[in-house]
Amino acid sequence: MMVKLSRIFILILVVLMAAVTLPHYYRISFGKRVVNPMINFSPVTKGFLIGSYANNKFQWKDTNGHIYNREEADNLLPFSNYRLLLAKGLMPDSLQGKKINIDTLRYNNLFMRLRPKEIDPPGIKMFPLFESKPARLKLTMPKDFVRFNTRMEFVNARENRVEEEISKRFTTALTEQGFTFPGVKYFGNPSTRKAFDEGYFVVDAAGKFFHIKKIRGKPYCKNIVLPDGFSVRHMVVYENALQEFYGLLVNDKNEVFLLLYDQYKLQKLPTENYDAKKDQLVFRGDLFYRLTTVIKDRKIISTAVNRKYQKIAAYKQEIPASFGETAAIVHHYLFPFTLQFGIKTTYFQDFYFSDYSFTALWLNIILMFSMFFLKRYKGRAGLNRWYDFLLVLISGIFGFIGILIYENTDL
Amino acid sequence: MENVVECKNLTHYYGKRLIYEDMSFNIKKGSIFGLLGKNGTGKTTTINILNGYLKPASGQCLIFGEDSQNLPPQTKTRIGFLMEGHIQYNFMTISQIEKFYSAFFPKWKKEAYYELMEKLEVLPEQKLSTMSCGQRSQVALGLILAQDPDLMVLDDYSMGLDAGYRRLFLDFLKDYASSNNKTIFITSHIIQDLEDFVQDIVILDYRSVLLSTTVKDFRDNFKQFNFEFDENMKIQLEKTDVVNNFELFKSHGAIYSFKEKAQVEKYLQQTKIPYKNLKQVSMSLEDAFIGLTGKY
Amino acid sequence: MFKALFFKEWLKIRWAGLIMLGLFFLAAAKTALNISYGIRILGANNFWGEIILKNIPFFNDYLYLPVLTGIVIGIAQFFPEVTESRLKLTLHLPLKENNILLYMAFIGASAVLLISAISLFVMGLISLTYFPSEVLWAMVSTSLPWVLAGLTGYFGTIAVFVEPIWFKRIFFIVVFISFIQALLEPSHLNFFQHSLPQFTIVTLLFSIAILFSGHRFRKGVLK
Repeated sequence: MMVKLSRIFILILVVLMAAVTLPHYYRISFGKRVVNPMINFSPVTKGFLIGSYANNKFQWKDTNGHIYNREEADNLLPFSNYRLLLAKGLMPDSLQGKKINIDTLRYNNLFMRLRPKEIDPPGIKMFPLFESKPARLKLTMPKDFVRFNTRMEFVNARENRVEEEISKRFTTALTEQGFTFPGVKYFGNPSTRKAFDEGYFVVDAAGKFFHIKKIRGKPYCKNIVLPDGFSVRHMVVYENALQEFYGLLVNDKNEVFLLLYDQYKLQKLPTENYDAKKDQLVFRGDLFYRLTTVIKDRKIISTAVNRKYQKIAAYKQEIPASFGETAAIVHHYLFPFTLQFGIKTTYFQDFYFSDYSFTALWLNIILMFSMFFLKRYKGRAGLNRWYDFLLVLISGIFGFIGILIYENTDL
Repeated sequence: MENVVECKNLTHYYGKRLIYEDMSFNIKKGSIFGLLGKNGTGKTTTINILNGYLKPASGQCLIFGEDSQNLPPQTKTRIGFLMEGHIQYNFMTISQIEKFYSAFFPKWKKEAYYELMEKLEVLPEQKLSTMSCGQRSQVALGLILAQDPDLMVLDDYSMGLDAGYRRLFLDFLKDYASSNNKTIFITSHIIQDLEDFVQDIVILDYRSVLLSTTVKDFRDNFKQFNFEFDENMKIQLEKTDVVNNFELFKSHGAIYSFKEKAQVEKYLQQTKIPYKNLKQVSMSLEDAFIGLTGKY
Repeated sequence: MFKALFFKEWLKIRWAGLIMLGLFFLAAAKTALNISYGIRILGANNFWGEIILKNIPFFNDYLYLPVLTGIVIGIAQFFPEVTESRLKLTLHLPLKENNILLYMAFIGASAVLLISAISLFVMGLISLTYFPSEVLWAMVSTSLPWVLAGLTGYFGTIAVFVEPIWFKRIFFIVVFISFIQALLEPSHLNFFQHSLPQFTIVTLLFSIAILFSGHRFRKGVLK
């Protein structure tokens, strides 16, 4: 009995590892390189410009199908290529009737990205709260790290000990703003390589939203009043010289907002079909436009708005599959499912089963019946090993490898 | 008399190579049973089947009435097992190994072991791995004697031992066997030692059992006849039910047979073999064994 | 009887175990030195930043040690058993054969766990000296998969030793190495935080693999 169980366990292990390994090498053998198209909005043509590979050659194309070579495209995208155009002396002085100032252009160029795995990532739930108004202007790593428990605690790194005084000060300030301890999520840029510091945005235990900064050692704590039913899923904090917004905010309904400097108001960005758990979100901004792009598994959707956040245009494109048509069909027939321990939408390791294919049942059934031709499954003895048949029926080629190698003899 | 071991219709293959077919033998309680055969005829295979380390292609062995493939622990306590080459846990010391085994066997006789150890020039703290082959054989023997089993299975006790140790080994075994109705199953390729020791024997040949008998019957009935012939005569002999085996040299030959001299003579006359001076010569057990199995 | 069996296993693995423990202590000493050096050079706050913000385990020297321990203990325990088929002696002991194998595996696995636990404890003490408790828990949750890899390495090694057929051995090595790889490759803090139970269950599937191999060892399968 125990020996039987031991063999069944081994078979399960073979199935698991085969479900990881075989599809992996299949992908390596037959997978194609898929490069997501680059989507830009040209202030010259006032239309989308899509950069992609065709026949292994990079090219730009507009929505009318017109193809541009590199130099042409550079001119159509002066905001992203200003350095190049300046060097060549091709930078226009004005666009759409407005005079272009290079400094203004530069700090209006914005880029934010949110990938699914950046939401609730693994790691240690502590952060350094920077001095936002450093005496010597340069941001430096503070001597203590913050944690939330029943209060906001500052732990001094050198002594590995809680700093009572500052902890009390911040806890009191937060309590006064109606903060419910502990803080559950916090968002910020814990880096000294940024122009200035906006501190952290924190969701408390009650789901309320707060802005916390340290200014000259003193707490700046502000409850940000959100609309009813608004639950913060994630925020990308973006300290940018433009100082129009603190960052990108995504709520549980997959709506995307900018959190404005202007009284912490929310500015909704148009997105279509965005699912924060699966899709990548890219925000780009320049002097004239804001472009929100949602990159899904097989589709890319881009929406352009003007500086008043009025929708101007939208663009959609299918992304080719990583398998060619034949390779994809064969994959469906071969593998009833696949297993991965790590996937691109999260940092967390787990057993991720996917690509369930009922088409593979055909192969499973064929393999199952072919077992009757194996000597050891012939006749009545075979029927006593019904679970081997069941295993092959469910796991197909994975289980078949298992029973071929770890055969059922004298059990 | 009851049988301690009953092996029925054993057949075994290694891959496609047949080891033997349909081998059956019984071992009576209190007897000393020898399984004889040249190297590679399946002695160790039989021991492995007997101990449940090998499942025969077909057939079955019963030990104390239990299937050898599934011996319950209580039955295993009654079987002493000496591995080919006196293999033991050579990472243990003399005293550790005694301490280890004593926990498993209720009838453990510590004195029996240490009595034997005293005869060796070894210290209790000495590791088995530092001992000579002969010394290790005595340790293995001592452990089996201390276990006091009802059946001893000894796989080629003689391997790697010089004459002195072989003699010592058998002396102890004899003592043990005669004392209290114990059964011994022994295999060896050195036949002469077993001459006055074993009672029942099975002689294995490649692929089959050659003979299953008692030593006494074998020695009484199996005979060697030498004869002479002219050097330039061409002599041809075949194995028949009269001639179990034969050897031919330049001008003389030997016939091994279970038949009487008269029958052999009759056979030689019938087959028109020009023999001279046919006479029976005496054989040791080893001579008889080689006579029966041949030199190759 | 099990006490005697324990005695036998202890004789085989004690040196291997002590050497592995020694290696663990060396690694701990190296880690402690690295931390103290890092703090002196970077300053404590910047060093904390490296760990807390960049998610880099400061105890990476430990990564392969549990696997190594598992394999070394497995070899120490079963190499003497399979050379000259000494396992036949062991299986001839008056106990159920499966129980003997399971008990041996239990002793070896306990040794791997004990060594890992002692070293984790030492690492924990070092961690608590320099870092807040959050780092300690992150360290535990990060290194538990490594311990699982150690167990897998152990269970795999002993099954491979007992397995009589080369082809099955090699295939089994492939299976358990791919699982170990899955456990060791993502060596960042807390990556297994939500899946330790799942990975533990799969590790335990390896624990009785030795029985199937042991069964074939007993049946003398040569194929």
